[in-house]
Amino acid sequence: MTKAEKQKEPEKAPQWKPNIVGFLCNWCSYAGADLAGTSRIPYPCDVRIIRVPCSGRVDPLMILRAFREGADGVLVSGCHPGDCHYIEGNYYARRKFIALKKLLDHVGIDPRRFRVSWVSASEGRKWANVVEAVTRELLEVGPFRYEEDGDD
Amino acid sequence: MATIREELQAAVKKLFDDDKIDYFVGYAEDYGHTFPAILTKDSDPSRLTFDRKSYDNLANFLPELRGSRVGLICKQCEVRTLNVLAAEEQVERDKLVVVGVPCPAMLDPRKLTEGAADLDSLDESYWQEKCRRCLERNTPLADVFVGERVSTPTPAEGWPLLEEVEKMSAEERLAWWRRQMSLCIRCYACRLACPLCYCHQCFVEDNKPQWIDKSVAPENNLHYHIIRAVHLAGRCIECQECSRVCPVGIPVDVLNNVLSRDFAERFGYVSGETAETQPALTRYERDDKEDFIL
Repeated sequence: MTKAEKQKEPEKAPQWKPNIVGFLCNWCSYAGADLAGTSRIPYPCDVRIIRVPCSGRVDPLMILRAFREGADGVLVSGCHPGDCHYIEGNYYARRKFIALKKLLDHVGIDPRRFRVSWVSASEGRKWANVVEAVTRELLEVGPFRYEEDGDD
Repeated sequence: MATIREELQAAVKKLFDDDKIDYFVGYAEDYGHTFPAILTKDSDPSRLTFDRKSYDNLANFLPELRGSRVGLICKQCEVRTLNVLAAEEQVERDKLVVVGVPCPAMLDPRKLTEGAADLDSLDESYWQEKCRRCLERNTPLADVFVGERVSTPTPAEGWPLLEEVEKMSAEERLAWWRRQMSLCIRCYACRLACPLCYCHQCFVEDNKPQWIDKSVAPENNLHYHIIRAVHLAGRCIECQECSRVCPVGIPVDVLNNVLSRDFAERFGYVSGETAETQPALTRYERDDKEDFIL
């Protein structure tokens, strides 16, 4: 191997992959993701899934905690409005996420880092598409870090 | 203000003499400062005052005094707080005696210089920002009104500091907030001064799970302030006490204003407008706009 080739090597290092934390509602999106699996639909494997009883269970605290623990993006997914197992959990969740999203945008955290989707238990294909879209966006945005270069 | 002072003291004395209240929450003056004071039947009402340095939001003491009959001085800020607290069933309105006052607009302590001249004559440039936006200077809910009613100037539009921050790019905003948050010492004065932060146990004190690291890294501080803003979403009545009490001068209320403004546009309501106004996050509409959902 020539010297020039050796110097090039770091560029060949495995491509950076985003860390995505997915909060999935037990009744719809988790089953939807399961369906994507049993239907053998290929999609990026960068989402770490945490199963929650309802998208209404997802507290903004959990989302920020995920970022603090090293997530590059957070995806919350639940039943479509009107389909909630608990009748109205996702309606409340939607309002909460409006507030959190607004704040994250304001403090300058890229809005693409926090996504919400509605995926039903029969939408395995949609789940794959959502994950693909989120992963693609995060690859553009890059790793999440608060620190500016040379700071701290 | 000699007259309003005397009128106030007489009114409070009468409330105690008629056995209408157990406690009175007002302002007392000492060493050139005006600070909140809680009086009982045996206290000396001659300490009571009301002036342009009566900053504190007195509704802050109500959840603690719940169950007792309480009289309190209410400015517009307290009235809106009372409405939110009533909607959340934290106060019993029939046990409260609201003493209305004509609010002369509070002065911004950061703009006051030592030994400032006559406080009554200071103009708008010395006002707190919230006072320029005030909708009604005379307490609307008053059971007893002391002093002479004043006229309310046309409320100012807009949120100067928030708009200034919004002119920056996303990276600049993150850097700006990071700088602000690097000053934060997590003394929780903002939480203490906030009349709507009345939880017995705050999420920052939880340790199983520990949601937020207790060290004062700017990221932790930012998360604390974001979550506090989420908890106040659609409840904050913009009394700006959080910013006023901040020992390092972080404009904490900007985060709350982001949501106040957005919710006003989105859901078309003002928190604490009436005692029936339920906070935005405790209700929903089926057709809430969901432009951000995949």
